[in-house]
Amino acid sequence: MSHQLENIQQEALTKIEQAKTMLELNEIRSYYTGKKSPLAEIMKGLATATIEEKKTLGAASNQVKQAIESAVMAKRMALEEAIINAQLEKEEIDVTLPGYSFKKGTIHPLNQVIEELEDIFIGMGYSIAEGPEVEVDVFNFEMLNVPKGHPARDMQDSFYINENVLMRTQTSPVQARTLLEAGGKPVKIVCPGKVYRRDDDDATHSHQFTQFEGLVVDKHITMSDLKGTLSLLMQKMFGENRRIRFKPSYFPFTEPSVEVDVSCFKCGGKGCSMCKHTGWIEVLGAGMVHPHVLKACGYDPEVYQGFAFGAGIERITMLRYGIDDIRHFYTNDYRFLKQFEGDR
Amino acid sequence: MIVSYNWLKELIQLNVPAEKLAEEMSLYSVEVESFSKLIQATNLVVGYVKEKRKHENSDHLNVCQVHFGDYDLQIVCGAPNVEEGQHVIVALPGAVLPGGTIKKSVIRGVESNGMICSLQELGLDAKYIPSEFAHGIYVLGADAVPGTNALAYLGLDDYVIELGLTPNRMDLLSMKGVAKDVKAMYQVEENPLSYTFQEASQKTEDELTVSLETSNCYSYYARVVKNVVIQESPTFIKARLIASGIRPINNVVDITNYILMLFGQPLHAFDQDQLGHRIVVRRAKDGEKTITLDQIERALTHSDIVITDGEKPVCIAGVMGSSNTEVTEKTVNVVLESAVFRPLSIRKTSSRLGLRSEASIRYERGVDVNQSLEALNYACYLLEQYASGTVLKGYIHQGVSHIEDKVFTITPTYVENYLGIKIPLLKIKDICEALSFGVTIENEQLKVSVPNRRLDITIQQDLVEEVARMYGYDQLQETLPLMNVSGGLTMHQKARRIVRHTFKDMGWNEVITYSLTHPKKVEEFNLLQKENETTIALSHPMSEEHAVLRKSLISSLVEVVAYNQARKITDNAFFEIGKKYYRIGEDTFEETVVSGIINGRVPGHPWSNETKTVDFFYVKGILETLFAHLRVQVQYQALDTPTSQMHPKRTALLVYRNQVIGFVGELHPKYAKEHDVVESYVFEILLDALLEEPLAVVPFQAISKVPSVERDLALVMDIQQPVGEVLEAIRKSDKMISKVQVFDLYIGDKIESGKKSVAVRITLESDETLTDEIIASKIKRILKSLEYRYHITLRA
Repeated sequence: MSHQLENIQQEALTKIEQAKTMLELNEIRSYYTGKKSPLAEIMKGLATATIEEKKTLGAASNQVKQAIESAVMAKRMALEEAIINAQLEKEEIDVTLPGYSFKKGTIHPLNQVIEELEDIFIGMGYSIAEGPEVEVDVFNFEMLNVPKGHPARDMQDSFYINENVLMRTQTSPVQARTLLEAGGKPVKIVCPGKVYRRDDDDATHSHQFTQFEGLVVDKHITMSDLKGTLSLLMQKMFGENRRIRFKPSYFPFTEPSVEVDVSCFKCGGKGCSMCKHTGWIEVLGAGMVHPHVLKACGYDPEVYQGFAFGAGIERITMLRYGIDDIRHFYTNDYRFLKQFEGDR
Repeated sequence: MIVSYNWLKELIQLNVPAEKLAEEMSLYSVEVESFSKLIQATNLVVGYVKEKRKHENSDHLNVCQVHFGDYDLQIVCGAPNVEEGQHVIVALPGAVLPGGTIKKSVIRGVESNGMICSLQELGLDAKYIPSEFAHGIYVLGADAVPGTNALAYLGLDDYVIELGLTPNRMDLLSMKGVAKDVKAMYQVEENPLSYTFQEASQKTEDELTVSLETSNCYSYYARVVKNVVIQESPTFIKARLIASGIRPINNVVDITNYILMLFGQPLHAFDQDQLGHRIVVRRAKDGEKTITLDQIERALTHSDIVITDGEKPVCIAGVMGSSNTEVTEKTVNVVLESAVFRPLSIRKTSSRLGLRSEASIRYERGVDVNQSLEALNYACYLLEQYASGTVLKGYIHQGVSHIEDKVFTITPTYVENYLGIKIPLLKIKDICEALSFGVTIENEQLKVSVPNRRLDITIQQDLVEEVARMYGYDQLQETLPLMNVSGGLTMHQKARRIVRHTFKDMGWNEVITYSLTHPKKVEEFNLLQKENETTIALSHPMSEEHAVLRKSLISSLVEVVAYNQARKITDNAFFEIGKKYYRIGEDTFEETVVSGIINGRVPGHPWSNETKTVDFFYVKGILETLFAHLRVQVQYQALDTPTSQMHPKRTALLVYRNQVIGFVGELHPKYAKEHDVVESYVFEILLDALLEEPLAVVPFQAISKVPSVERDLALVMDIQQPVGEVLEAIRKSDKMISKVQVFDLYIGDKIESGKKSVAVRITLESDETLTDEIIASKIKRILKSLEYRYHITLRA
């Protein structure tokens, strides 16, 4: 009897081993473990056997059954594995082919620089002030200590709309507007914006361009504060090793007035073609707010002092990226704009 | 202002090399625009032409034996004016001239050891060269010593420093003024001008009367010099003028220019025999005419000042003389004027006439009356010395003769409070004294008296600037202001950044175009115009192209696309955040808008051939994303008034809070064709209106634990029925409806003609389980309402 069981087991395991598909395996399994399986037949024949025989044979038959079941299980896993492997094989791709194209947009380089400057100053507690581009003469000139007939009006020939209204020639009128609005309270602002002058457009001139202006007014603001602020700004914009220097200059709305040079960020100050071999590059105009301006805006110059500074965004951007022609900013050639992709 | 280094050294005891001076003037005085040697050429020596013979192989060359003191050299010369006995400028072998390096050579078989030079060959501008030497070599005076430096003999071995003058520093428009500033920089001594001249017994007042009839002339000095001999100026005057960029003419004219450069006091010389004995300074009559020295007839107005002989103008005061009294070769007697006029008046006249002279530049900024007499007297000395003139006794003066010093009080504490650094009292005193200001100290206070020549110093802070720059701006500390204020972006500024970054993130390129545009374009795309809105125009535009302020950005964006398309760049997407400008009545308005243009392919799978082209709904989707970022809801309305720039059937107005705030649609195909762009979609949105109200915080909503339920309906409606309205109606019909989406649109013969079938998917959400009965009854109610309002039926 047990010999018969052994044969059945042997036969079953061989068939299981040889099964090629899941279907075949399932058929083998139901043949050997079903109600009409050879094992079941043997068990039926046990009806006449002794209790002792029934016990031993029953146990042996169960063992055979279990052996078949676990062989089926193992085979099933092997077959499944093979199926998956075959499928994976078929699904091979070339990972070096390009991905879906999502267009990468760009922010205009001038606005990138403006946002960067704004963020530097916001970090120092400044607000962003704005004002109209169609400005009245009073704010653009007169309140800034440039009365009619003042020679400084020569420096910036303007686009007038009528006798009293013009396209602002500088962002400085925002200084006057901000001070008037602040009504005697401390002021700490920067102001980016478009300005307009009667210039023929060429590689270095544009009738429309962008300025960035700063104004700080309070009781104890000194010229050393101005220098510290601009020094920090230049380090953030052009690298931490940058130094600055002041040179005497003139603006009607500041006294003293200075031009601000930054040590050349290309050669580090040794002298190169970028800095015309001087080691320094002119980037800003600045000064202490002129008492006439403070007075005109309702601040007592005996009590309040302040500083102001201004820069051309085009110039800073051109210096930083080595752009040689200001007209690029307004031509908007995609091949130019695309070079300013990215967020950092 | 061009500063001659040699002249400066004559005026002060300066030991600083020219290049260093130029560098340091920028830091302590005023911006230096350029620095160079006056004449770049090297190795130029005085030679004496001992012998000249014809070159045997040439009909125009001469072979010269030139003597240099210790040695002689043979030089071949092609100049027509070379003669034996001349002292000439020789460039020896090795000399570097603008035209190249001189080498020993053989010219047509004859050895030549250098070149006899013209002034042009040294690099001197032709305008400085006397006409007699315009086409040949320059001939030096007989006193030139052979073998010595030729440039030194000519006084041209000089350096020139060009100052970038700011409008305030009128004092630096003279050599004396520059000398005072440089003297303060290095704390060196001045060399006082010493001069004397003989006065004839004849009195000036017997020869001349002066009367001032306008207050625009502050001061008028005059002297008369008789019997002048008009000739070439001495070498040093010519050299100084050339270094200063002024063309030498003759001794009398040159002396007036020399004085102008030295003192900053413009002088004018009249030919007295043409002028007569009378000078009247008055305002010009409207329409009065005079011919100026440049031979142009000038029409005058009442705001001009004229010098007259009592009848006719003989000079436009402070600007330019008239030719009727010009000093010429025939002039014998001269009237010299040293006057000061009202700056504003000169400025007006010179800018109206477009006439900028060395004199007007100085008068516009202000001339120091305290120096007028000295300048005049120094000129008389020079005229006596170099024009053999006889100076009449005394001078005539009308008007102000002297302006007192201005006195300021400053303290070291004030200086410290302003600059943020301590400068000791005595240091401040030193600086002020070095600047030739008077200083007295009382109780830790400095009383500083500033002479009139520093017209720019009018307030205490101006004096602080003087102290600061001379002390050195490099001495300032670097501190940050300490203030009780906070900063940051406003809501509107934040929102504008969101707009910019949203478009960027969706693949659009930001551009900046000009605010000024052509009057022809200004009405284009102005769909958002206000009632009674008009255009803002420049009163004097530079060109028609930039004559008015734009009222829409789109025509500029179309140009950007046309530009790029012409350069084979396809699939364009550009946007701009800018302003539109307009006027209502007298008031001007500026509104921030965002505008965009897009065309070409929708970005997608990289190598499959299925490409979609941008259409209306693509752009609408972009705008919907923008509005979601901004948390605003905008409605779309078909455009009902067609324009020639937008496609009449594919344009929508954007409505926010019952106000039209923008539009989006296809460029009119005709417009696109005319402007060389492919099918493109554009939009413009008024950001100010959209961002007007601050956003409220939206409270958190509990998330339903019950899954949502979807139902699909095929709705048949009139083909003209806007679907948006229907969707909105469904959305609003029940609180449980969280989403209504269109997933198919059918127009065709499977349904009744004149109808369309719109398949919508409705999503319902609720806190309780939604049974089939509840859903069915809700759908039934919706359908009933749609049927009633829009005659919509369910598709069979």
